[in-house]
Amino acid sequence: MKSKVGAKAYRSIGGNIGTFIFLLIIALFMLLPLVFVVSSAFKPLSELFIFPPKLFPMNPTLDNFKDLSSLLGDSWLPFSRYIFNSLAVTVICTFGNIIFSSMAAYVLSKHDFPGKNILFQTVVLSLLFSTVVTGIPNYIIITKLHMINTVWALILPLLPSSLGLFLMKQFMDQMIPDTLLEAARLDGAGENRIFFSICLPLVKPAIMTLLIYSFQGIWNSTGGSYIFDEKLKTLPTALNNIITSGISRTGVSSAVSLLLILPPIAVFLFAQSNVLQTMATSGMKD
Amino acid sequence: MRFVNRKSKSVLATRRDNKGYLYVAPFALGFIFLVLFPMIQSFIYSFNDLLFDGQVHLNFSGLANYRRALFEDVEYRQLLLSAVRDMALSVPVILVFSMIVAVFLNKNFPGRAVFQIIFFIPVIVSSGIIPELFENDLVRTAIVSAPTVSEEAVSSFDTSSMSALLISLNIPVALVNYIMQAIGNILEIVNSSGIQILVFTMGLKSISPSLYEASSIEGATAWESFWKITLPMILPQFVVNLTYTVIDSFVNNNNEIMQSINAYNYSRFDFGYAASLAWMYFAIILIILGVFVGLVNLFSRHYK
Repeated sequence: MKSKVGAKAYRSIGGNIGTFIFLLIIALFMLLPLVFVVSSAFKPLSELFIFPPKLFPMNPTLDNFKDLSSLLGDSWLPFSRYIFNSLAVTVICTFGNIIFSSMAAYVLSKHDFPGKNILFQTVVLSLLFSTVVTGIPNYIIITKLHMINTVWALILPLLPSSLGLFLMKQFMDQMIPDTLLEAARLDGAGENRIFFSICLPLVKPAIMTLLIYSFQGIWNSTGGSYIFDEKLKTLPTALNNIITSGISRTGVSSAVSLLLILPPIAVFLFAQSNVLQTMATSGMKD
Repeated sequence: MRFVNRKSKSVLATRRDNKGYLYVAPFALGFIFLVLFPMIQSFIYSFNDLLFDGQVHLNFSGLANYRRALFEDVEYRQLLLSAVRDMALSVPVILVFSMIVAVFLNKNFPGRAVFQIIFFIPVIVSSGIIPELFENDLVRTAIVSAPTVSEEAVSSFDTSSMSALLISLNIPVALVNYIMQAIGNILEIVNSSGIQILVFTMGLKSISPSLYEASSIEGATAWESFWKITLPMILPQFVVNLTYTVIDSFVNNNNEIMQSINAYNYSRFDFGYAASLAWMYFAIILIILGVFVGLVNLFSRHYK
């Protein structure tokens, strides 16, 4: 473990325990919502309406999941269709998010060209803007592109990720030293080579972060008003329909909530070991 | 001869520039058509009365929408004030909190890896179902009513007695109230710090250990090296986090303003008015962000 050598002198068992307890308390707070979602899924309907709600179910049951599966048996399309739609859209958009954001971020971070600052500042400004009111103009644009009710309407609006660009640019500013790129250029590497063989590996932790972040965002997106065709609807849309069809579905909806957060958690577990690893930041000697 | 030299150089330069545009193009095209253009459209809408029946019919109404929001709407100004106040309270707490956690996480102690995983969880669950829980305050009521926490324990740790204690220690009342409010919102604060903790952690890891080594040889305490090394070195991450936190708290859909904009847009179909509300809100976020970043810049000048 590459730790701070200097800090070693101050570390003590007491300090360790203190740190541990402090973090443990915070961690408990962080886990609570998750625990709540999981436990709700196993509560019988009667317990879901108890006020104040209990953190743990008194009589855990699988009824909610049974109800869900019988409901899904009644739906028009096989359930796997929604899952496939969701997975396809999420994978494509997440990949697109990452590659487009990092390409643009690389140029914005390491190159100079006219219009560069304006582009970046506009992107940051757009982050501050509420997406609610751009709903109508977006709808019109998608219509004019003749993409309403096609799979493009699900994918295209999710491809440009302002936040992705913002984060990637900050990470690249920080983690890639100009001197390294200079050296690569002197050795005759072209821009493609520099980007794919030097920059991307160096910002791998950032990419994994963006992967987790984009995945959960896109996974939960519904495609809203652009899609009428049942065959093209995604999982959250289908599940939303179940949830909103009445208060008697509360049990089912809590099971649905649990199912919906499972894929992001799976992606997270896959990516996390890369995210927080000690980074030998740049391969440069300070 | 001179011409030849210039030429070879300039060809290289242009080629690089063109590739630059090529790299930016996919993002820029998507951004301009699907983000920027709709924003501009909504700006135009905000000066119009809008009728939408598949086609958009605009009726220019000048500043009427804005006037209505500022002088006639009974809710908007109050919502705006409370949104700004909430944010002014929560942003510094979130930043300080996530920095402390990141500094702790950067230490070497048993179980660190597990904690690192746990602290990233809020990022995964930040959208989708969890915000609804917060909105209804379900989680908090669940904790308070948890069977393990007896009534007595809750009341003995009552916030009022604790604030009385703090005030008796000669801590300014305003500060005490601020701390109490932060404790009351701990759940929200903890759960909106995921990305921030991560960004700080990355920043901390990029600090060369030799700096700490040198400073400890020179006799600096851990406290001193935090203020003289850690803090200045992670100032860039600080600005990133500041921006992100402000954006996150403002554009959060749980935010009352966002909900009212939502309502005007999707339930009352008052699109022009909703657009004007959103643009005013946008302007205010911008000013606040500017103030915050300006403060950090002042602070960082102190180090140069």
